[in-house]
Amino acid sequence: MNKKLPTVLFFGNEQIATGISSSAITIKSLIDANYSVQANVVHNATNNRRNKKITDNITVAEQNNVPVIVNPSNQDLLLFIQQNNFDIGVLVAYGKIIPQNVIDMFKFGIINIHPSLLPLHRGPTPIESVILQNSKTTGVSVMSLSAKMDAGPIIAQKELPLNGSESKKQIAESLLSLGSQLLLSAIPKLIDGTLLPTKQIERLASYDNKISKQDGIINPQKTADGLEKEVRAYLGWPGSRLEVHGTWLTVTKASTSKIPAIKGILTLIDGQLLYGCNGGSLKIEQIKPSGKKEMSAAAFCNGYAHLLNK
Amino acid sequence: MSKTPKDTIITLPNPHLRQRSQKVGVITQQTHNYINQMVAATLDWEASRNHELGIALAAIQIDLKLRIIIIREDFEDKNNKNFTILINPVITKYEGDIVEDYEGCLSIKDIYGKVPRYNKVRVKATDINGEETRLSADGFIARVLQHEVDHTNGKLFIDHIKDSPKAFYHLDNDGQLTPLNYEQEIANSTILW
Ligand SMILES: [Zn+2]
Repeated sequence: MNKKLPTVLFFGNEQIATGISSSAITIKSLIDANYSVQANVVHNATNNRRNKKITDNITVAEQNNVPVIVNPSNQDLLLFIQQNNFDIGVLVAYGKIIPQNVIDMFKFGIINIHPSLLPLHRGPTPIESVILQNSKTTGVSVMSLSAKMDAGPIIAQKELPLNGSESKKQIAESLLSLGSQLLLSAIPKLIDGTLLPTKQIERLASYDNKISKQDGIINPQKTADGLEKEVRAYLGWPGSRLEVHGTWLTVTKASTSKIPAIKGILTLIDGQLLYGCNGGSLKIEQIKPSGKKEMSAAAFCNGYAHLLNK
Repeated sequence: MSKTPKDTIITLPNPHLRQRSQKVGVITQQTHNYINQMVAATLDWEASRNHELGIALAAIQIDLKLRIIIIREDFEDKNNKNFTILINPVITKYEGDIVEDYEGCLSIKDIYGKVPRYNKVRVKATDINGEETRLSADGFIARVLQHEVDHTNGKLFIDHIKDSPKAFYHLDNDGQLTPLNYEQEIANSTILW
């Protein structure tokens, strides 16, 4: 006897944190596990507005002869699914709500990887939020998609302990790879009916605020500890930024320092590049002047001495 | 092209597929050789297919009229190439609900059927060491057991659905099942019946 492998329609670009490119872990592992991935539906073909680089998902799809569909209307999407008859949908960071009538077209629904321990951290910024809130643990949820954002029943979850120094990219990659493993082991059980999703407990739900571009501006009234977390959480987008004499600088790596420096001023003290803030200073380790490449603090002090307070 | 293990698989309209197989008396080195050929044929067949897994085979499918069936240990993992071997298998009890699901057969090319089967069965058989073994199975593996034991009795999955116009599907090149036109492609087929 032989068995047909399930056909899959893949939604999203796997960019599960803002400004962080993904390495297409989920679509790759589905293809490697012999699922018949029929198309990749994406909201955008590029990483973001500025950077016109094609996402890794599209590259992987093209390498495997999986057609890519960019931002279809709900009507076109419905038609496409009607014509094809997929067993299952998989969605990882699609960036658009899927209406219930589309979800209902899939025999086994659409499965979604969300980078938090739902019902905690619903919304688009769970990874940024656990960094900002200094959470000791986070995790990943695999759920059955519902039209209400991040509220679908849970299929599987896994925790990820945090030590407080991880970058946004590290957390995103770890959660995505854990999530793909969970997803792959769950699909066969969903199909043969041995795994039933569990409802989320609504009263425990928490929602994260959207991050705005404005949030990235470094506020010297905050503590160095808080600003260091922002540097990690805002890396990629919107970026932790400060302006000195008309030049915008994005801090990409920093630590905290007890050395007092004048609040809101960039200074070189004992060979350390410091930005004075509440109760101490932010020690800048990597920095990216607007329009230039990221550089070390030492390189910056050489090239941009005129921006430093002496 | 040279012959490969999958080429030993017989397909309809070969009349041997509709004949009852004989009981295995003693398990000999020859029996082991036959089983190895069955495994090789299944894996070689699978390697030639893009969207399918070969999950079980009966000896008659490589034209050996013996009551031997092999069943894949893991139905999801192409990399797990282990099979359970059952000799002289008999279904001793059908239980549970009758459920419909898709199944295909290495001896019936590109056709899938939505076949009603019992959800639970108990099976008595002889294992590779000649010991009597009993197992009870539910879900998809129960379906696989019924399909393979049918083969030892000369019965095919299409025989269960021959009067169901909506139960026949074609596996397309892109791995999707599309309904077949029963009147044109099934009912009067000279290959299937
Ligand atoms: Zn068969």
